Amino acid sequence: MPIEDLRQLLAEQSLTFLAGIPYVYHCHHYNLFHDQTIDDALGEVDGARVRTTAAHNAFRELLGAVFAAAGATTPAERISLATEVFAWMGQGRLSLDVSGAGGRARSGSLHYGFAWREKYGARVKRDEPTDAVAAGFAAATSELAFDLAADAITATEHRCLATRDPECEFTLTAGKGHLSRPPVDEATVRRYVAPAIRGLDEDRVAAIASGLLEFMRAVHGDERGLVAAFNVFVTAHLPGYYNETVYEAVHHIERTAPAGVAAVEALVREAGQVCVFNTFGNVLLSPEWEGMVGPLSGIPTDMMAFCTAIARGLGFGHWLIHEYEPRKRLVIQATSNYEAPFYRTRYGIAKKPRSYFVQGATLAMMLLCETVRWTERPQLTNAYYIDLFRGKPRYRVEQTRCATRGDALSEYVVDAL
Amino acid sequence: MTPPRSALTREVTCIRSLAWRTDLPTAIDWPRLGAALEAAGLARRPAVGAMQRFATTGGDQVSLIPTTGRVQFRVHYTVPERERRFAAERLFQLVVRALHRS
Amino acid sequence: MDRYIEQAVAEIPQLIGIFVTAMPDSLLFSSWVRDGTSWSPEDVAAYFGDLVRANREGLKALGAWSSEMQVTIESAESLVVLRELSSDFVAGCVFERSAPLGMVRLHLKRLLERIAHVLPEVQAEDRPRGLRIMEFLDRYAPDPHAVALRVSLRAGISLDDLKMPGALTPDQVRRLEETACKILGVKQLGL
Repeated sequence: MPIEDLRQLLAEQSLTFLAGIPYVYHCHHYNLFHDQTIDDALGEVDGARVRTTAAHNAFRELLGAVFAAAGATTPAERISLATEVFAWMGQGRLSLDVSGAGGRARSGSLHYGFAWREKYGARVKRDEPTDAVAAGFAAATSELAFDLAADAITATEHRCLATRDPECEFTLTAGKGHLSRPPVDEATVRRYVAPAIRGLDEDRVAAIASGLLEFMRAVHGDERGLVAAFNVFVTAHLPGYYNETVYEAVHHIERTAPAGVAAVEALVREAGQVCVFNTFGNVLLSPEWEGMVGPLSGIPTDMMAFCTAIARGLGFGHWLIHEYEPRKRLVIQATSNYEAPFYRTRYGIAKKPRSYFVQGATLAMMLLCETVRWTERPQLTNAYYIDLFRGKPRYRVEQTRCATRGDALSEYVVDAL
Repeated sequence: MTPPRSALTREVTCIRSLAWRTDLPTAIDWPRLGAALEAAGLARRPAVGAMQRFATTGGDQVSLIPTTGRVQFRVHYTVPERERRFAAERLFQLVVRALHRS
Repeated sequence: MDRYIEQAVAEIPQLIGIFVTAMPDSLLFSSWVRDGTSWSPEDVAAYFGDLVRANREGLKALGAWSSEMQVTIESAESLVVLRELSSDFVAGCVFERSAPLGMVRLHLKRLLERIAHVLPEVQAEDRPRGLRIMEFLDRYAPDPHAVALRVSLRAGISLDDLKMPGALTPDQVRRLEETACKILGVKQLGL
């Protein structure tokens, strides 16, 4: 069964699923910054543990659903299908040599290791492997291939492209096992979405988003399992991974070092900015965009509609422009996002707004639409990012409603300072 | 032969030196240019809206947008960084020669 | 000083820019760049200062250091020559790539003699290490926009305290330095 056939779209909410498990698109800038933030909060050892566990859990959910949908029953079928799914997602091509007791895995092209070396390798030396996602995936695949309990297998990476080894290598060994939790699947997600409502410029936003979602259908890993698109490396990735790592890290800081909460929340919001600047920015400046939508006008209301459409096109949910006064105020609402269903299912009702990614993203959208001279073909460099986001703050964002807190929808208000 | 409006320049890119561009007059014969690129050994890939795409056997890509004249050269990410500019220049020359033939 | 340099470089048509860096903190002291260039003199001066310092340490490790050393960098578009004017100042000159090396040497000698003549005597301040570490991170950390947040989380130093890195306690400076090494992937900082 082609992997493409396992895709589903909840069109009115711009949410994408693979065999009923949510997935979204993120670029390597966001992925690397996200993982770095988790390690900053927890330290390298606990950071790697939390990231690997989150990936393990997320891929168990996904692969369990994929195997059931595809009718894959034997270990060989399941391992083969799993590695194809992983490559299709742009996560890389991993070879598994495993049994029910463990084994080994290797790859010369994993998204995280490859992208880390490409982005940072010339500037920073790294001692720790970076492919916790692949480690978690390898463990989940092995367990499910041999019908083992959750956490019956653990995987550790001991060589990595990012640490200047020629290949990434993993060892898989017996774990302790625990009960798995019910997946956060489409049925669960549907419990936490509000009816889709129309925003400003809705027809244009919806048309562009629809075109982008259609374009993304053809985006999948190449022969190395990597996706180079829009001048970034893209992955189809699992919100379960992002959510479990972020919320475990934030909760840990809240429990053990409350003075650090402001910093960790700011960093997770910053990750949203990194995503908008790099992913949205590169999409907007790409020839694909120019071919689908046309050259950029640079007019703020146009750019805001484009950014909102991109968010939907990447599967982030039904974001809409509720209010927009250029240079003064932006109100983005979301009748769905990929953070709330996970948070509500895992942790219950939040005491405060917890949609950090979208908080950062909406702030960045305001800056991008107001400040960037799009018609002058800006170079989206680190230096430009610093120019835009550092220095005297021009805007602030407040999340005034949050689905994690039990509100019907989420609302993000960006005001000029 | 209609020369490019601009020389080969570095495109907006987040991955170092992978994407380059030039601009052509919109009034050129784009179907003939596309045919000339195919005759030169590039494989035509599915279009994305108004954007036409061609790929080399090595995975490099040339994208043409006739409505604006934009041409992007995308060097495959496996090309070592020190060689990417040269790879882009070869793609640029390919388009120049194809323009000449068309 | 800037105007003096401007006069001194008038005779050197192939010179694109000159930067005088105050050491040991790699701070811009004075500069001139040709009209139309978009360089940040502070950034260039800082990196040039760090480069000379790293070069000095490298040569010392080889047992080959000399006070007469010069760093020459040839790129596709320019020729960069860095030289220590004194223990307190480094000069970095950027020429067009097409400038003949013989002419470069001649101009450089005259130019640097003129500049060295008018440099002030410096009483180096002992700048707080915390401040110097944050500046170093600003220059070399891979995501400089997030440096303060990352340091705050890792080192357990509040964001408010990090706004005044010169006033950090010795224990905070120690934690800051460990964190900086971790972020940069080095065993010790070149400070």
